[in-house]
Amino acid sequence: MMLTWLWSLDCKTWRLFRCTCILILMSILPVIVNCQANDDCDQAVTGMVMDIVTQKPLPYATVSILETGQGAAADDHGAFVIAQVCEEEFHLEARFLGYKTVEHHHDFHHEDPIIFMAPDETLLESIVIEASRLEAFQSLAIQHLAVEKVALLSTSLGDLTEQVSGISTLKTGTNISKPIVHGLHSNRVLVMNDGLRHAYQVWGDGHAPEIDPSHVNEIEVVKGAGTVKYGPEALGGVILYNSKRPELDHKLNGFVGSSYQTNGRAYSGQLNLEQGSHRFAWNASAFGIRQADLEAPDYNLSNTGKKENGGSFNALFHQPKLELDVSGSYLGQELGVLRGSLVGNLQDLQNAIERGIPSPTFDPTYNIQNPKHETQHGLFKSKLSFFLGEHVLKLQYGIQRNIRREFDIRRGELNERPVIDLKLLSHTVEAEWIQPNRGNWNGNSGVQLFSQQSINEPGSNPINFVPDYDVLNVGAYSIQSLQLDESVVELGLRLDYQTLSVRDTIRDITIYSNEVNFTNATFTLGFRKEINETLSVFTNIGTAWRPPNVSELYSFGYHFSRVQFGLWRYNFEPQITTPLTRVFDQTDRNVRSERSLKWVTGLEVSNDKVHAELIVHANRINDYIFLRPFGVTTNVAGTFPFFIFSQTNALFLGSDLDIKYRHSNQLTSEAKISYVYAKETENDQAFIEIPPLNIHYNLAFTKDRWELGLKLDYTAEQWHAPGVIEPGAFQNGGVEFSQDDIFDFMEVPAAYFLVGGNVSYTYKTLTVELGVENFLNTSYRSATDRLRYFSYAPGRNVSLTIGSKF
Amino acid sequence: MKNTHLLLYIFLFLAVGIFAGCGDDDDNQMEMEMEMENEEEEEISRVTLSFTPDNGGDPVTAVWFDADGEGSGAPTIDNIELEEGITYTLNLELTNTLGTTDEDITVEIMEEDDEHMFFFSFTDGIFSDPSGDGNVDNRMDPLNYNDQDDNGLPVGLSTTWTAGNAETVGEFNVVLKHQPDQKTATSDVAVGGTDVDISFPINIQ
Repeated sequence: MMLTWLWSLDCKTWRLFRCTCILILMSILPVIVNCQANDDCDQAVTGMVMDIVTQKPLPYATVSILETGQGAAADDHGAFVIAQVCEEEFHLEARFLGYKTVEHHHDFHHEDPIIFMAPDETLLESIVIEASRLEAFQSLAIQHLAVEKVALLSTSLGDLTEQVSGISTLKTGTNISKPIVHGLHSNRVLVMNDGLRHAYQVWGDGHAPEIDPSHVNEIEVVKGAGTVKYGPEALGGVILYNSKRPELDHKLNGFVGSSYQTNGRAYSGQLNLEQGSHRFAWNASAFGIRQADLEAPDYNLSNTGKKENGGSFNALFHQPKLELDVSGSYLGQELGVLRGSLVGNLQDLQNAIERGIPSPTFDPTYNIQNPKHETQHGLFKSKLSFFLGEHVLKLQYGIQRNIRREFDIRRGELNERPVIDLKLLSHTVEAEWIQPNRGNWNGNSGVQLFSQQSINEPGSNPINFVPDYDVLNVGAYSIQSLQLDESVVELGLRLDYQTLSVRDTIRDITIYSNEVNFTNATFTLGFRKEINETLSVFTNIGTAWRPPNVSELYSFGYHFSRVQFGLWRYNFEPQITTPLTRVFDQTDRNVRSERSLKWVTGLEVSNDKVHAELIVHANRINDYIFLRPFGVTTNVAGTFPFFIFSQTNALFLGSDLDIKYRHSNQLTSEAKISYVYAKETENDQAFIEIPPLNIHYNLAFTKDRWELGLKLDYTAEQWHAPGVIEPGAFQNGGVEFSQDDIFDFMEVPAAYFLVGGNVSYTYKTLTVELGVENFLNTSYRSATDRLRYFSYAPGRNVSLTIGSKF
Repeated sequence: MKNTHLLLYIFLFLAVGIFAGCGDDDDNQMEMEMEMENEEEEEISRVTLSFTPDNGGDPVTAVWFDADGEGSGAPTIDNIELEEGITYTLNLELTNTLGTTDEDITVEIMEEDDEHMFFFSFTDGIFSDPSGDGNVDNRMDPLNYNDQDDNGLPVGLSTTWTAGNAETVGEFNVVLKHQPDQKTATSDVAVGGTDVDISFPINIQ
């Protein structure tokens, strides 16, 4: 399916890719061929053993080579060394009392293994990762979340990501959610899908990243300016959805699971398979979900059904000095949007807010009607790694194709046609060099090329919401770290060159095209020190940037209860005009890229009982692009305030606290508190849709085959919020507001408290889990749900999941 | 290490690119040109009110026109001037003028009249029939609809009005609601999405 789907490609980018590959290969080929194998017995295997749940070292865990029986125990820092190894390839086995034993094929040439061991009582599996983490910043707050296959069946990837402190989600109803990191989202948070910058129509608040959940094995969150390593747009942070690397020398094994949820009568299924021989290993997955309309405590949420299908594969071709990893994934979605959220003018919006129950409301059904979003995302990736003595070189090529169709309620046959119909094709070419240790120095450097082409399918709308656009980014970076006794200093630099070219036709009248270039340098500087065995501190300061996106430059007219004009669709001579058929460019108004400076500082406490991390972050963004209310306009549907995209400076401050406490071997507590304070600094005013204070508490009890969990969630009211102007007031005329006053159409939602829980029982390879969310059937609205004006969030949901490993 | 392996792997790596090779964009181009011809527009930028007197006189027309559609520019709005005691048939014409050629939206509404309904409100006393201030505030208030959809429910593209006393001035408000699956004998102006909500100054001579 994916293969045919990827077939239609444009030639230009393909040629570019081909030339790049050939150039890189020609330059490195002589190096590889000259490399000699090392037959001495003076080699040593080094690595780390960690607890997968706490991400802390596991001292005294034993690691041995199965073929020779040689072994070693991990030290206080979890590090192990097995000296005098003769073999080039062997199997490592890690054992520790109370943890699941894991076996791993290892090549001496490969990067050092990090062994993550899963405690016996969890549903997680022990895994081995070859060093990719060692490249990551040690001075940045990075959080990992191992994905439980059983849990994923009854929740969404978005909700799972939200479990990381400091992460919340921007929702458009229940089905569409995208991550917010420290108050920033969309173009300001970078999403990495299986090692590739996830390519989707990122400019839209209502566009969630389309990621196949069955492909995801681990979620990693970088809570800092990760631009140096990952590229532009990582102002708030980076979220990495990592897939599972196939294991060599593993018999055919897998997982099959199914789940049913009462709210939305949703049923889902997932299958994972994995097999590995000596030189080749693969895994594959498939998943599907059907969901009918969801229910709020007192009414149906009509047209909130969804359908999703996904599948993926990873294939690993392995040689001692060479490895090829080919992977792909596909996700198709059909997502209903609450029918009652459609409004024609502000009186309708006022009616919807006052009505309290969305209109119309029908009997629940699996049928999905307009308004709805249909998306498809396909990813295909090939990664070649060379292990050249102390050097490691990685080449990666990825192609992604994304189709997005949004349907609205229109007149007659137009209902069959999407209002937004976009095709996006993206290519990524990367080369990375991990340099050998030189004294206390190590580091890695790379070049990245990213090209993207988005076209509007003809026939959807006479005015395209965004023009056709091409993006080309070329970036080069280097990150170096210096180890000094108990501390590490890190420094990274990156240079980027990016072009954005657009072209479009407005109502068959105006044809325009434009090209803008951006050049930016970014840096990161970090420090981490282990003060003693239980306490470490870290601090990192880094810059990030992003160019204005197509929506911010070119949007024109009515969208989601707001009339808005992009930076190049209005002019101020002599007063504001928004010409229908004229488009401006950089000669009329110079639009700078957003630049951020983010500082994250934290301390980490870790001993037998407690693992706690406290971080404080500050993010100053210059030329922050936002919608500024500017005036009132009348069109055929009534009177509306209109907004212009404008640039200002913004400040985001906040803190995340995570505490895990082990009461006994059976009982653990976890508390997470996140708060972010955001303001526009020119006029000192609050933004809308900033996540309020959130406190999360989790109690887990495990005994024998049973696992019990209790979840408590408190979300405060956002007390730092802009003023409110009721939408009906515009319709009746006579509203006055200042152009420097951000406002919302409704009071911020009240604080709410949610209770959830789960109980699971594992017998041999079979696990049954019963879970409940919003147990008290609380009616609440989320401050970061864009449909909060129209309905409450869904009520109680009970899920039953059965999963089995084989 | 065997170089054959190396070559094989490099070949495989490149094969991914080759397999994802050249597509054909020409088809797309053709499709685009063909589609351009029959693109439809749903935005309404001009509403024409034609009051045709039953005494055979010339129709009185009033036009509401927003030259820049969703742009920030203000619309131009005509005055409605009617004669005391005369009965008029009001026909509404909705047009999109924003494209290269004008498009008649009235036809689209007629085709989907079971999903659309016009509501009217006006200054009390402007008309002797219907009396009152129209059916925006209360659906059941009197209004003289001349047309019906397939379900026998009023539409409002054609309505009848008798002007009240001379020297009265006021406001005349036309609302078009799109009520797919929602239009009933009792569905009022609060139901559905608003397609049109415009006001004209009116005076009776």
